[in-house]
Amino acid sequence: MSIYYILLPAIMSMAIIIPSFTLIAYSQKNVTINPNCGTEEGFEVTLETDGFEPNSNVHWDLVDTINNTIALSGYFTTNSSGGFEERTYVDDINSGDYKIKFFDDADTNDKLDTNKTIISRDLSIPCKNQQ
Amino acid sequence: MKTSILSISFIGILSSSILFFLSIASIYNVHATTYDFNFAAVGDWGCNSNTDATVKGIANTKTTNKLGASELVLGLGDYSYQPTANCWLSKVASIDDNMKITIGNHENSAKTGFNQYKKSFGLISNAYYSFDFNNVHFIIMNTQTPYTPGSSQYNFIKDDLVKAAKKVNTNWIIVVMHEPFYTSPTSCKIASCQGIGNLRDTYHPLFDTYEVDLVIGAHLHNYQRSFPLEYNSASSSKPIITSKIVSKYNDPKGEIYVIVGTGGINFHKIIGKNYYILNQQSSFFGHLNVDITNKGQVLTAKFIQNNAKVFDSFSITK
Repeated sequence: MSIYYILLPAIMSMAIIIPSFTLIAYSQKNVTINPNCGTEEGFEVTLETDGFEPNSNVHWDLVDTINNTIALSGYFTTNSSGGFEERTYVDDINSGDYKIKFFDDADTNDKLDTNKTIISRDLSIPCKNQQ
Repeated sequence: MKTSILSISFIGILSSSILFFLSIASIYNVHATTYDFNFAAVGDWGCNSNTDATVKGIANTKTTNKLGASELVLGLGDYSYQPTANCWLSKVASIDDNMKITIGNHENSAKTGFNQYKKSFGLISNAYYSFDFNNVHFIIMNTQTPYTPGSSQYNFIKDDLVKAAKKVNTNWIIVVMHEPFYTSPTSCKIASCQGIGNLRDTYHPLFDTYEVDLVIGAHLHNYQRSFPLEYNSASSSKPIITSKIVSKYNDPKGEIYVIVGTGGINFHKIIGKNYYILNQQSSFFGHLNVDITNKGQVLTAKFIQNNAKVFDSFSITK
């Protein structure tokens, strides 16, 4: 009887801890942008992410890599796995090399949340093979 | 038997009395709300979950607004950002019962669905028009077609302003257009994002003359609200502020200019503040919600973010 009382909490703890490790292992942030280049006239871009804070907000900035200024920005709400697949439109900006930076921003104050990281992808206008 | 007859008579008298009181109440209610209504305005929508949130925000005014849901929705241009209007039309299906739109630069050609938007909203020819809603006269301009003096749009708008200014029952004139006259500096680098000089030189003096009250635009993907402004003929990019009051105006001279490009596509970051802009933000999507109350004598406008918080509000009393 006493062994049962010792083993039961141990088994229950394992049941909680093992899935937690699994969650951590799978919480790697992923970002895909498609297409990653386009014309100066403008083009629709699909932003696909995963591994951010679930049921929260992710902010994105399209940053000019030369002068480090924000050309466009926005935010999207994440689903239960911390991702989204959304469309935006890139125009009204000059030709050049850009980075789209994504980060957790729960209260949509345009600032990176504490203890969170930024993930970025390259975007160019026009496409390199069109230059 | 006598009891039955008495009961029937009593019920008859009671029903008549109730009907009488109901009709009186109905008459008074109609009288009290004849000029009162609510409308919403926003542009630069896109076709994503933020667009859905903006639609939901407009639909939700029935729970936050004493006048109920918006009876009129104004689309300020730039809708689906796609070759057809299909996606956006599907997004706004729940709020398009009484929706009027202006054309933006993302739907001004056959390749970007111009004809589909025209057909869906019953627009004719070049898509500039006007209409009355209670005691408000709305003029919908099309900044994507010729508008300089001598153009058919210019002649239409001048003539329409002359007529609207003479109408006894018109208490408010509100102009809607896509590309704005005035803006703070933003991350949008193209010429039309800097405030269009020949547009304001052509129409701002007319708006002053015919006492337009409010000018609502978009194109810049953010929210900006000006002080009441009069045209400055000496330097048209530097309009004259007619009142430094922040939020409660009593029929000020000039017009209040509002940019509401926050429908959901993305943001042009605001990187400075021009002296004539009173309130601005480029961090939250949302819409401008306007109440016309007190028998049409008070206009109250609020920028309601999609998280239901009010960022800005002002009122004009006449």
